[in-house]
Amino acid sequence: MSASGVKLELRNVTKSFGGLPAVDNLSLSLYQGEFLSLLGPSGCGKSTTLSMIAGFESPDSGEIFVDERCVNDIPTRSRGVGIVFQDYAVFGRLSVRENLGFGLAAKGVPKAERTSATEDMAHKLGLTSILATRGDKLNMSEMQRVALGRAIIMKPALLLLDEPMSNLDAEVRLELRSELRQIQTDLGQTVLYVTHDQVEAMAMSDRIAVMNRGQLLQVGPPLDIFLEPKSKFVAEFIGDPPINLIPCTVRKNGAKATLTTAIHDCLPIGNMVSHEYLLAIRPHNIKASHSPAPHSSPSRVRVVENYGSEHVLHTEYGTQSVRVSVPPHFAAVDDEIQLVLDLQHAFLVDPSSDAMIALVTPDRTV
Amino acid sequence: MAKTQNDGLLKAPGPSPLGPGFSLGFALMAPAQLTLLAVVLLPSLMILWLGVTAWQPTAGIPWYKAEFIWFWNFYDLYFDSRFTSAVLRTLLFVAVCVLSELLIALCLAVLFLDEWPWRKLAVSVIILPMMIVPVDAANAFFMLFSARGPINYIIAEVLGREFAYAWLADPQWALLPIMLAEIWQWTPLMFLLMLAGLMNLPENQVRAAVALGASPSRIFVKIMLPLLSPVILIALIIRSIETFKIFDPVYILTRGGPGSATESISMFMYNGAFVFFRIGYIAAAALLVLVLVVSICLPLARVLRR
Amino acid sequence: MPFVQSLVGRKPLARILKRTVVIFAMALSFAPIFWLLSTSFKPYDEWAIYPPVWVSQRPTLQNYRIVFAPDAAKSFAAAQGGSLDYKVAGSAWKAFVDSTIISTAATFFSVVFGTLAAYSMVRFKTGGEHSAFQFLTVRMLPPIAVVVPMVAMFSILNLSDTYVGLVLAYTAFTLPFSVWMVRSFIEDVPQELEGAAMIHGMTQLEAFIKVTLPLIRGGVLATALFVFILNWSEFLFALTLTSGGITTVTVQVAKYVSASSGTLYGVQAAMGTVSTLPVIVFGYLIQRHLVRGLTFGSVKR
Repeated sequence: MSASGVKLELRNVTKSFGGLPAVDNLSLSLYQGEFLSLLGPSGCGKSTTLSMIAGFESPDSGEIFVDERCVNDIPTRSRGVGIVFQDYAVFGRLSVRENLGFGLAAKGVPKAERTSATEDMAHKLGLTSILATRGDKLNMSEMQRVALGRAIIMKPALLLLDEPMSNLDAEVRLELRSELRQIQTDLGQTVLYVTHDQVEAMAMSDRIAVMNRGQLLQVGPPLDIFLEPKSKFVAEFIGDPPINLIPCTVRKNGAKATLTTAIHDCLPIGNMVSHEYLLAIRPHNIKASHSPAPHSSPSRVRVVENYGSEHVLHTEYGTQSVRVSVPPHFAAVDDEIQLVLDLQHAFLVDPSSDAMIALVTPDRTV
Repeated sequence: MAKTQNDGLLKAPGPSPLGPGFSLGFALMAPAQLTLLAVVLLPSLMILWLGVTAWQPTAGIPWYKAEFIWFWNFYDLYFDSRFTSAVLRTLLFVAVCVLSELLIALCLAVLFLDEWPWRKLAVSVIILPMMIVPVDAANAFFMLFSARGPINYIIAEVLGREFAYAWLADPQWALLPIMLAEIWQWTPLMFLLMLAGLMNLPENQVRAAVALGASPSRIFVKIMLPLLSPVILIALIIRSIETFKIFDPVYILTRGGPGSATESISMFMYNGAFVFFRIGYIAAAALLVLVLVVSICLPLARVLRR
Repeated sequence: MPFVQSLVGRKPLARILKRTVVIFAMALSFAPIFWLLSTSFKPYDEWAIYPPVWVSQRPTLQNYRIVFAPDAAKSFAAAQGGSLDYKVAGSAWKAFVDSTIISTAATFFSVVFGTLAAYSMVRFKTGGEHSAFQFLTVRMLPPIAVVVPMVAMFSILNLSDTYVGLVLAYTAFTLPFSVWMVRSFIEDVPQELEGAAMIHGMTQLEAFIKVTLPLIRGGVLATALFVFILNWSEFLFALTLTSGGITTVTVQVAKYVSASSGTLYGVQAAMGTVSTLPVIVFGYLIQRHLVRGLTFGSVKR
């Protein structure tokens, strides 16, 4: 146990397969009691990273520290890491009780202690009624809880979860999501959660680490990542409905500048370099109205998506359409509405580097 | 819905060229069924007759005129120690050979789970014994185990003294070369089966057990073996059925001798029929064996198809 | 498989131990074959010499000549000053021819009948579970049990020592493999494919021949090779249902015993080597399907 409580540290970890880097110079830290999601699309390297932390694969270079101990050369069984797999991998021939107590039995814990620990964990997870049921007779939700309990009962320094919700129905997923988070908080268990579902990551995590193509793009609390994405990929990946990317031209005009898009002309902004950019603006930051307003431009509605508590309109914007969030029944297809861009929370994307530049608005200075 | 839309289409459509009343399905089965009828069913019926006679072709009378002796053949068989020994000995063959093959194959297969450069070559060499004509393999073992042969030579070198033991002439030990020939020939099959079984194991269960801190032996016994048990069962059943019929190595290596010390059931029946020409008696033995086999193997075969 | 490291150890010592065991197993597997091969090239005086000759320093093709060329056999007999049994004076070509004829014919019938029966069983469920097990029970009988009455039957029907008789016996006893193997291949082809073909106007049989058969072509071929191997290696029927007129390669080997020279080990080894070659070749060709075949389709890779 360390003073700073760094449960996991990855230092410059790299792993390549056949010359292609699956994980590229990844550095990341996880703190005691934290729920961190490793988020990214398929093939981004998150599963490989998990594999390496668990010890099923070795990094080509870099170090992995669990509880401040370098585990590169330590085999899986001695790393103090718990795992829940995507398919839960519950031991089919053993009962729930034997599953839960498996790790304790392997350690040689005496029967009495094992029994009480098992029953305690079963109680916490609502498994008491099925303690005698065989592993291959459980439903998905029960299997997940058994897989969780089996790992947590060992009090691992770090719990790894590999996309455990991906083969569940939507409603079961929501239920288990909150259950999992509850258990994690109650026990203060440090969790590394691998997923491709950004909604899930946003809902459950203390921090999110976004990966793409083997690289770690950004780490931070969900809100920070949402409000201040540092790269085009992160901006596009996080947020539902997704962010709009609108080509625009910025013209510097002394100490100020103007921004011109396909339908909005010469919007005043703060000091910026003249350049062609992409304007990254979220659907919630485009205001729609039925009557003209300052700096508004007309646009025709093409598609209405019903999100329940809000609607998302796809409206014409030059050669593309943009998504605009509106209250329900605000407009119908083919209606003409007025759009105002709220640039306060918008960004410019440098087309060559994909870097995000915070937009300066007239009432903000650099 | 259990039936798909196409089920109705694929029902045999009625009269076939073979005439009205025959459906296509039966017509397709006919050639196979007829062959079995001729080669298996008819002889079996004949055995029923022969088994209750005392027919010996050397006496010159045709089989249908053979002397009817009720169930005396069966009575004689029951008290024939040569027959009962053959049965017990065959069961011994099955037990020793099949279990040895399984154990060796399992231990070997575990070593082949990971990749290494010459793994494919190793597999090819290890399954080579399966691809040898059994008679030729038996011949090789005959040469190897001869009194002044290579195996005795090696043993002599190891022991540092003369060793010219006549394995195949010793009633006590002649079983060994036969068993070794059988085990040598068929362990590769078990090996392939165990390997297939191990490769099909759910990886994540093993990984989960590893992460929970289980030792390799615990993982193997509590997780892998139970998952392997279907394959192991199939392997045991199939090899037991085949080993029960063992003939080729016995014939080549000892003809069942010395005396009848190494007679398997098949060898006993061969000797009885083709050396002693007691056809009726052997037919009765065949009947007993058939009954024994069918009563044990039929329930086992249901397991096989599960 | 990555988890294996935990089973068999990552340490270099464990790896060396592993490889050593594997090499030892390979050596044991190869040793008898090596002995057969080596002996086949040994001159007469080295066949049964003690201490044994592992690899002959004076390799010769004499044994192979005796197997294939009768004249060589006679000169061998003359050189040894003894008399060769008349059986050995004949060349083994006939054995190879007989084996080929019988094995090929029996394989053909077995696979054809088996495929038809398998198709019937899978698509029409003919006979239900009973006929399926019926084929299995055939494999459970010790063949010797039917040989006895078969010899009697054949003598009545004049089928003793004929190709027809043996082909019939071989076909029957390999049918279980044909049926079950092809059955497992047919089961891999979804019924809907044939259904679709029939909607396009084909009859049932046409759909089978034009749609399903091409898809399982590889499997049927593997089954054929597998059955061929079984037929080629068969010994008991060849021994009991023939009386010298027909000889298969398995029976031929036993003929290399002469009154004066004892067992002609070298010649037996040569015969064994050559007769085993087709089995080795075919066996490796169908390596992938061996497991499926030998477990009657219940275990697939």
